[in-house]
Amino acid sequence: MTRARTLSAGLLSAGVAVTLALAIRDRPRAGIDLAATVRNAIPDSGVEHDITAVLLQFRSYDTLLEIAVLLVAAVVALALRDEPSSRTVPPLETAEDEAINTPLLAALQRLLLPVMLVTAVYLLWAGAFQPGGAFQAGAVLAALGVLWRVAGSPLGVTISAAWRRGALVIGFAVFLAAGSAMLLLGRPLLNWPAEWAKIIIIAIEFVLMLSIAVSLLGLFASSPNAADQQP
Amino acid sequence: MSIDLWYAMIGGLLFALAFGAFMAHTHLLRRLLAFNIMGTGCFLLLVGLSQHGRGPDPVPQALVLTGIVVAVASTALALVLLRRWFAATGQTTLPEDTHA
Repeated sequence: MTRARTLSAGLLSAGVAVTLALAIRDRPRAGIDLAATVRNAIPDSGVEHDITAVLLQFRSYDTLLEIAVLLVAAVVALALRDEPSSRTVPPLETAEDEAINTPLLAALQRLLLPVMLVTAVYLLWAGAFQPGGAFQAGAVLAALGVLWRVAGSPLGVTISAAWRRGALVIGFAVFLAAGSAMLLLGRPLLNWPAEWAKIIIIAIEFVLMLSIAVSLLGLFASSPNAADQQP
Repeated sequence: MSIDLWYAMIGGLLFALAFGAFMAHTHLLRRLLAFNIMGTGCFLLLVGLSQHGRGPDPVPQALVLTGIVVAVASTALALVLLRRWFAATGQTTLPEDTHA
């Protein structure tokens, strides 16, 4: 790191800090009260929690694109695997010799596995009326998967490549299919009818949770092994 | 100054600090970390500024939640790329930065 580089970075950084602080001090008044707009529309949304309503009802387009971004990231990571010529997908679970074999980790996994599964499903369900939802639940499931990968699989569970691809795609596919089906009913894209909204939202959240968990775990699993060299 | 405005200020400060670190360092992992902290600063700024004087606003919060998930996915992808780059070249910086 050269002195000139550090100096110019420091000066620019200080400039950005001052500019942002001035911008926050002299902020413009908000034109519309979005919170009130959302509050008034909640009864028609099918769910009681405002953030879930925004994510999967009022701004569901954003969420659809978000799961598409996750899917693309997971696919690119798969494409970057060590031997691009082979058709093998790096497995989600560790090989027997790679697992860290300590009784502590195995015991921790046995204790946490059921708790984390229940927590994930609870978070998913709670999303309808309080903070929670597919992303939090998916993150918990992915953490469970990472633990499972690090500690090896005591239950002997393995996930085949076909199931894994299916789980990767199902969130985006079901979301898109449900959104497009609304067009057939003569409604706008991704616009759920009020009486079905809750069921549709919970179902989409469930498949989103699966896809998010598998994408995140897949990104973790497909990182090239650089353990033999020290960066 | 309300606590929300304070959050926004801290968000701006985090963003500026991380922006400086992003420019000063050439190691790709440091850059990735700095980039992540820039994102966090952005989220804090967005949520803090929008709820100043009005209470929680679900729209920016949902936006930030989406942003966090995208940030996690892109960070993971960047790490995969970085490790691949290191495995292929043994370098932790890009050629432009090495020769500059």
